[in-house]
Amino acid sequence: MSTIWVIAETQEGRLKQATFELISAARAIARACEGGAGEAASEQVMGQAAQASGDTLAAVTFEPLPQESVGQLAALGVRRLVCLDSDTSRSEIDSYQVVEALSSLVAGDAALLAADGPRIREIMPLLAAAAGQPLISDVVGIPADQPGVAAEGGIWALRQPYSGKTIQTVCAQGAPVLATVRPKCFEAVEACDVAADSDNVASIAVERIPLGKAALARVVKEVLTAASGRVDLAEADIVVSGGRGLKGPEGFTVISQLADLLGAAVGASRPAVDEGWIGIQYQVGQTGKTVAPQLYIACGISGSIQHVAGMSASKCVVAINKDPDADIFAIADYGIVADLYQAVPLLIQEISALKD
Amino acid sequence: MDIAVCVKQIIDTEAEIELDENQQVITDGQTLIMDPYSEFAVEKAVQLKEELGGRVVLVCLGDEECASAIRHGLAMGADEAILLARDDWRQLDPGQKVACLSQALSCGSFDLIMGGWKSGDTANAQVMAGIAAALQMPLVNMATSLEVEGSTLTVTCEVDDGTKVLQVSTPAVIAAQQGLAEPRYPSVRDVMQARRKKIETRDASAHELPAAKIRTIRMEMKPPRQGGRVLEGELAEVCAQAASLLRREAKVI
Repeated sequence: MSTIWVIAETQEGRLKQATFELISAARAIARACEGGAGEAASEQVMGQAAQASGDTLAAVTFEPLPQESVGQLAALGVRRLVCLDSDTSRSEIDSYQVVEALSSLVAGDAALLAADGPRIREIMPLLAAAAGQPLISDVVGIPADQPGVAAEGGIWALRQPYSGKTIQTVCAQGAPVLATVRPKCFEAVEACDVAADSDNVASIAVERIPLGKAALARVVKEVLTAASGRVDLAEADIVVSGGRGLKGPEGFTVISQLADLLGAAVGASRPAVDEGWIGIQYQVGQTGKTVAPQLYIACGISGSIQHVAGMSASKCVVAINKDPDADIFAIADYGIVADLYQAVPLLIQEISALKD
Repeated sequence: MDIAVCVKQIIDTEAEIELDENQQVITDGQTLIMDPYSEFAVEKAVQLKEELGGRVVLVCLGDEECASAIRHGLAMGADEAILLARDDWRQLDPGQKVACLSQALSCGSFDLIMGGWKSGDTANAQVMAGIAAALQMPLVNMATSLEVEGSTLTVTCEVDDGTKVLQVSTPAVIAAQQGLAEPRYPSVRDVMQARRKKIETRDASAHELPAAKIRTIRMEMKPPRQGGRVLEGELAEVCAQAASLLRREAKVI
C-alpha cells in the first residue's frame, strides 16, 4: 500500500478550491495505477477510487485547519493529515524549512501533488532536487489510457509545453513522484458539508510536525498583498481581460465594472501591461499567467499567439474587438465586432437584466 | 560582482511548432532565440555589472546551434560564455539538466547565479531551483526586482497573493520573472564586439549524469481551439444575444 499526498492550501481559513481539484487528480492517478477503465462508478463513493488500488490519500497543510476542513478532507478519503507547525507567520515560512520537513515525510511514498502557484513553484523543485526525485510540473491531466503501465510502473501525466501548442504525455519514476497541478484542469471533488461533530472528524487525527530553522535563511522584509479584493486570476471562474484596444488605463474601469458584475477576475494582454495601464500580475499569456476559466471575455485584444497560449483552455470565450479580422475571433465561441467602449456597457446592462 | 547567467536557446515563441515522425519538435528552419526569461536575467546581470563592476558569464547547456542565442547575450553586454555541449541536451530530464549545470557552476566562484524561472518551450520551471538546492544556496524564485548592497541582495518576488521583499546573502540563486529588467536591443557595434568575445565550448557528453526519471511517452499537437462564431446584427441586439447565449447555451453566467 502506498500513499498519495496532496498539499492542502488554504485561503482565509478555508481550503482552496484547488485542493479539491488535487484530490480529484490523486484519484485519477490511483485509478490509472489500478488499471484504468471501469472504475468511474466507484468515484461516486468518497475515497473509494483511492482505496481500491491500495493507495491511501494523505494531506499536508502549512497551517492548522478548522475542524470543518478536517472533516471535509476525512470525508473525501484523506486518511492521514499532517500540519507543518511553525512559530513564524504563514507568509514568513521559508521554502527550505518546508522542503526539509516534506522530504522525510513523503520519502518512499507514491506521489506528492500540489497546486501550481508561486509558493509551490519554489517548494517543489527544491524538494525534487533535495530528495533526488522527479517533478512533473504544470500537469493538466492524467491520461486514462496508459498502455504498458502495469509492466513498467510510474506515474503518467499530461502537460502542455511550447506554450500550450503541444500536448506531452510523460511518465515519471520516483518514490515519490512530485507533481504540480495546474488549477482548473481537474474537476474539483464535491466538497460535502460535514458537521464538525460528525464521525469523519474523529476518524483522522491531525499530526503536527515542527519546522526546523532554515539553513539558508532568507529575511522577509515586507509582504505586499495585491490591493485588489477580487478573486485570484488563476483560480477565477470568469476572467474579463483588456488589451491594446482599451487605448489607456481608464479602460480598466469599464473592464472592472463588468468583472465586478460577474464576480470575475481582471486580466490583461501584454501590450496593456507594457503600456503601464495595469500591473504585471494581471498579464495573461506566454510570459504571464495561464488561465482556464469557465468564461473568458477578451476586450480589445487582438489574439496574438502569446496571449492565446495563456487562455485557450477556457471553456467559453467571448471576444469584443473593433477589427473584424482580429485573430481572437477565430478561437472565440461568441464574437462581437464593435468598439468595446460601446459594447461593454451594453453587455453590462443585458447581464444585469438577466441577473435580476 | 561575478555573475553566472544560465541561458537557454528556444524556438521563437511566436513560431508555429511542427513535429517530425518521431514526435520531436522540428527546429530546422525555425528562428532560434534566447529564451525570454533568460533574457530578463541577462539584462539584470549586465545592469548590475555596469553599476558595480565584475563580470557576467553566460552558461548554456546545448549544442553548436545555440551559438546565436549565446552571441545575443554577449552583445547585450555579457563578458564571456561557456557552452556545455551535449548533442542530447533536448532529451535530458530536468534533474539531469540540473546536474550538468550545477557541476559547471560549482567550479566558478560566482556571487550570483541567475537564469529564467522557467523557459518558453519545455516550461519545466525547475532548473534554477534545482541548482540552488544542489549548490546549497538560497533561492529567490520569480524575482521582479533585485538590488545589491555589498553582499546583501534585496529581491522582490511574486507570491500567491501579491509580492514579497526578501533579503539574502551572496552567493545566491535568483530566478527571473518578467519585470526584473527590460532587455535592451544590442546595437550593431555591440553585435560586432560580441563576435570577438570568447565562447568556451566544453564537451559535456562524457559527463556522468543521474538516470532520467521522467521520460516523454508521446508528444502531440494540441488541436486549435474551435470558435469563429460572430454574432450579427445591431450592437444592442448582439449584446442581448450574447448575454442570453452565455446563460442558456454556454451556461456560464
